[in-house]
Amino acid sequence: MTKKYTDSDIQKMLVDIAELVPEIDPHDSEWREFLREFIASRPDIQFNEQFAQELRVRVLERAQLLKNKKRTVLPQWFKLSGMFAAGAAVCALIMVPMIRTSEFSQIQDELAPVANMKMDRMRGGSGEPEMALLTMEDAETIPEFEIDSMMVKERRAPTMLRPLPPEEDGEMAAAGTLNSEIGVSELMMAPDSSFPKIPQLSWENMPSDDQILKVATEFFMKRNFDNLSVKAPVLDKWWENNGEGNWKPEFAPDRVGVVFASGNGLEDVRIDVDTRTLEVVWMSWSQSQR
Amino acid sequence: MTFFLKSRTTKWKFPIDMDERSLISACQSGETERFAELYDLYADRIFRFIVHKTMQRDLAEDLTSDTFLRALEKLHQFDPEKGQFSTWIYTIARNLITDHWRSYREHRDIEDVWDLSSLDDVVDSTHKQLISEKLHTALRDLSSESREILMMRFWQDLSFAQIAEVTGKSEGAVKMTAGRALKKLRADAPILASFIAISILFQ
Repeated sequence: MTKKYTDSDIQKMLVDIAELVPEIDPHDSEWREFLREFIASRPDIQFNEQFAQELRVRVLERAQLLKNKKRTVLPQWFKLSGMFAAGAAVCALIMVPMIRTSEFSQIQDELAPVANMKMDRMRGGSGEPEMALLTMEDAETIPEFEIDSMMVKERRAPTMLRPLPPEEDGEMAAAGTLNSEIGVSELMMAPDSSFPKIPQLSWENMPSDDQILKVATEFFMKRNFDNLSVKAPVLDKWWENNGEGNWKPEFAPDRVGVVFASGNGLEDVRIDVDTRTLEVVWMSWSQSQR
Repeated sequence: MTFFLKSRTTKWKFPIDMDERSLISACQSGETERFAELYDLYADRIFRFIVHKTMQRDLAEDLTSDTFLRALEKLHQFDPEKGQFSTWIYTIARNLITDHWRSYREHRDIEDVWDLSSLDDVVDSTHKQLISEKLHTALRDLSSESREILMMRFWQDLSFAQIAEVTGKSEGAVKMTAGRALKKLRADAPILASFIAISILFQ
């Protein structure tokens, strides 16, 4: 069924557009009639009632299935997302030194930000997590986990990073996401203005080890995990032990993991601290602490 | 339960946001069966959106099905603070259409077969049909992007802000595209323009 619009509705629609395309005159009756006819020309296709009902049943069945499987799906999802993140990070690191700057403005319009993602938080190691330390309900209400969730949501998902000139508050990086139709070479030649900026810490501005350890330990103690038998917390300085000799990333990592290891050599509790805000943004633990 | 607002002009508005938000919140909290209520709200709109984009009923039914099953599975990722559910689900539908086109691109350019005549069950009066034929011929000559924006704004009744969110463009860019497309459409359908001018004279 086509909606009926008043003359004033139609005029308002045209006013919206006329702001940017002045050749369109909302007060011109021919323009208003033209738009009215265009709206009325909408093909009136009916959704097949039987199909609609069948699909509704399928959706309900799937919903029930999801409800039953929700708990078992989470860890598998996390594994996949972790692999994706690792792959993206490797791609970004490979691309950084290859980037050249030049004008290529025609692809600017093609660059589009990826929708913000809300990532689930990890609540255990592989397999079905057992909430020995933290119940599902607790996990939902702990504010630190909300911080984690928000951090992820506010970030864009960069496919590659490239350096920009330093700014007053430290170095910046531009991150680009792209439609799949754009080649890597085109992306690399795109002007800096095509990329949304994501602040990156320079190594000089990186918080000290003690600062990061303090934040993680306080979080650990607040969660009453301190009754666990763990060794002193250790920073996961992956950039110092990455098998690449003296290679070091251009920017300081935006988060650093603090590991509270158990005596059996397994990582038991890992708490990630955001290096820019000094807030806990992630926590995971392995099955060995069940 | 869904509430609708109805204005004096019989124009149906979108459901009250708070009601929809509580519905989404319930689904995200584990009451996934309540997704059926979201389906009831959006199924028809999404189907029409897809059919207007593809002009193929069978394909539109398949993609509508995929859209809702995808939305159900990804609902835990949806954040009401970041945007409206309507734009989110339109984005899913749009992405699925794009994926479909890509997968068939090797065989044929689906964009070029956007053709109303492939729909054999469109109900039109003779008068409307005359105008529609002229307009749809002109529409077919627009770029797929322009066509999509016009259809979303004037056939789907999405706001420019919503279209901007769905397409990943700025609101200004969307308005600009819509304006230029409308201008081109009018210029490319001179017979229609004359017809309209005459009909205004005799009103």
